[in-house]
Amino acid sequence: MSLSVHDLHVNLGNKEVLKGIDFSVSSGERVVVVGPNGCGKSTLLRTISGIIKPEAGVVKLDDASLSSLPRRTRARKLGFLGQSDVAPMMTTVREHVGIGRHPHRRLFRQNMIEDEQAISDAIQLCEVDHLIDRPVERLSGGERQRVRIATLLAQAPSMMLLDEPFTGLDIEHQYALLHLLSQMHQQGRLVMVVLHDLSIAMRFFDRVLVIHEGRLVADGPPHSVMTSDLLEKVFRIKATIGHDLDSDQPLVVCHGQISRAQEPMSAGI
Amino acid sequence: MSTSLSVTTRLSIQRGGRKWTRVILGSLIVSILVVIGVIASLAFGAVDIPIREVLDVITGSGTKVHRQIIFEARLPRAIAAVMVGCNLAVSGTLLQAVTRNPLADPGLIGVTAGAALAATIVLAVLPGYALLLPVFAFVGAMISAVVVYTVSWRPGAGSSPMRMILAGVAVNAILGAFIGLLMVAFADRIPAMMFWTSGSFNGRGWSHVEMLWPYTLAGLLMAFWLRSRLAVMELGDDSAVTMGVPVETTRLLAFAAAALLAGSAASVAGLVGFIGLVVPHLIRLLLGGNYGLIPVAAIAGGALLLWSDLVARLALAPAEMPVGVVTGLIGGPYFIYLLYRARWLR
Repeated sequence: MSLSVHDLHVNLGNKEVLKGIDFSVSSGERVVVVGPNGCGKSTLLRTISGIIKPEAGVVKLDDASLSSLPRRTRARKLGFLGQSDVAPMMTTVREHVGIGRHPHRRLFRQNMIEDEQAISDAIQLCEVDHLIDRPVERLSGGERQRVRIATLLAQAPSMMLLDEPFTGLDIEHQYALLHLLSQMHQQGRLVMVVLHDLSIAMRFFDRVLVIHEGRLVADGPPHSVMTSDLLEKVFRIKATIGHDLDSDQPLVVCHGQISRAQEPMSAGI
Repeated sequence: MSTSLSVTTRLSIQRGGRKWTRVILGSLIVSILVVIGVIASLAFGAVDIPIREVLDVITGSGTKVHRQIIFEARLPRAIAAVMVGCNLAVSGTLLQAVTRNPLADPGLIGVTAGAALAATIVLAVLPGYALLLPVFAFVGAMISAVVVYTVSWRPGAGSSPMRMILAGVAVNAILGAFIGLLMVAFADRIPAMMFWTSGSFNGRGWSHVEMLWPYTLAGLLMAFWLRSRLAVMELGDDSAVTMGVPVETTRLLAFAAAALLAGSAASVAGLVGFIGLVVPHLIRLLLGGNYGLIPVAAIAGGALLLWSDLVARLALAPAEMPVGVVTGLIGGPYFIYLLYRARWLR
């Protein structure tokens, strides 16, 4: 399975947020999208998911334009975990996760055995089994985030887009989620994540897309993309890419911020 | 691993089963309440008819006078009360879902105020057209619902729950100002206006039932059809879109259904508050969340309003209270009791 984005332009209000994005990824890859605040990462994911209509350009899933697919078919292929956290009223964790099965249901064919199986698998994988009868609105931020991830898993799309999925998660569950995402990847799903932690982005993903001011400014394997030069120009930090002594895993070590006065004249890379 | 999964699956299926038992039990109880309420409404009033005689009349015998009282006055009135209660409860459920606001009810989207202004105009300025009051009220309700939806809609961005609520509040304020103006200008007609705005089933007959049933049926079918989409929309618009729900269409359909339900209810019974706001919560508190419960909420709304009408007729007999007063007096304290008792709020 492959996802390709051609010449994507998106305006929000009067602002041009994405200015011509081109790339294609296939299910063999674990893709991470990084970039400073307001660069258009979330807008990119939301446009690919069909939430925002692009001004120009197309998103294709295996050669078919995503907007031409019927809604439910698209929802079975592509799932999205957004940043906005809306807790429904008086809904238990089980019911919340069950909502993820919506694209698989029919008017007179409601919860089937395979739905129940998908729901309990998702609940178990996200370690929320002890919470299933609790109302979602009364959970902690991190628990609620795990419930939302479980809902995405229950949806069982072949491609998952996650926008800052670590929000609210403690370090144990951050690593549990990374493990879960590599499991999904091993099952042949396409996983694409927006992250702010550059060290994690370098360690756990095969391919990094760097977005800066609405443009894709770098695309490739982490070690070749993430350089001190790029960190300086895009993220405005003085940093070196070091390595952990024991495991040789890459680490981004930040030494400080670049003041606005020292701003390089051209942002082009 | 696989054995533990199947254990969880079995557990979750059992849990689902328990929920359905609760739902079936719940529908059964509210249905029984409706049946008992209807029989009581047929039996009690200015002339009390013994229950045995009521059953005789229903099965085709009984005296002519009793037949007349039951079939021409009490039965249509009871049916109208059940339908209006059902309309209001479903309308409230739909609105709370599309606006994602637990305080939403038909009053919030301008429907009620639109009906009230139209009715006030008829009662104050055009008393000669009092027979057409239901039609005016319905048209007024629809016009203000359309205005609220149009104001909340923005080209490019579509509608939004927040704008919908704010537009409703604004339109309510404007319509309320006009109602106030009319009341000052036509102070001698205030009692009639007040009685209408508190809601009543006094003198409602088969013509009202005929006016109501198409809306009740269509609204119920629409709500039932939209129920799983509404559950998805509770997760927010973004999630709903990516789960395959046509958000704008669903919101428009649910809003339109809610407006038709509440508008038809107001045109027949005047303004009956409380039911649209509280019945959805009542059902969730007693039976848990999710919109599969819409049919239960509908019957419960019908039962609550039927019993309230019975109390309104009998409590101060021979005088009749506005039914809206009763729904508030009975429902309010019970709702507070539920709030304290419910595990959700512990």
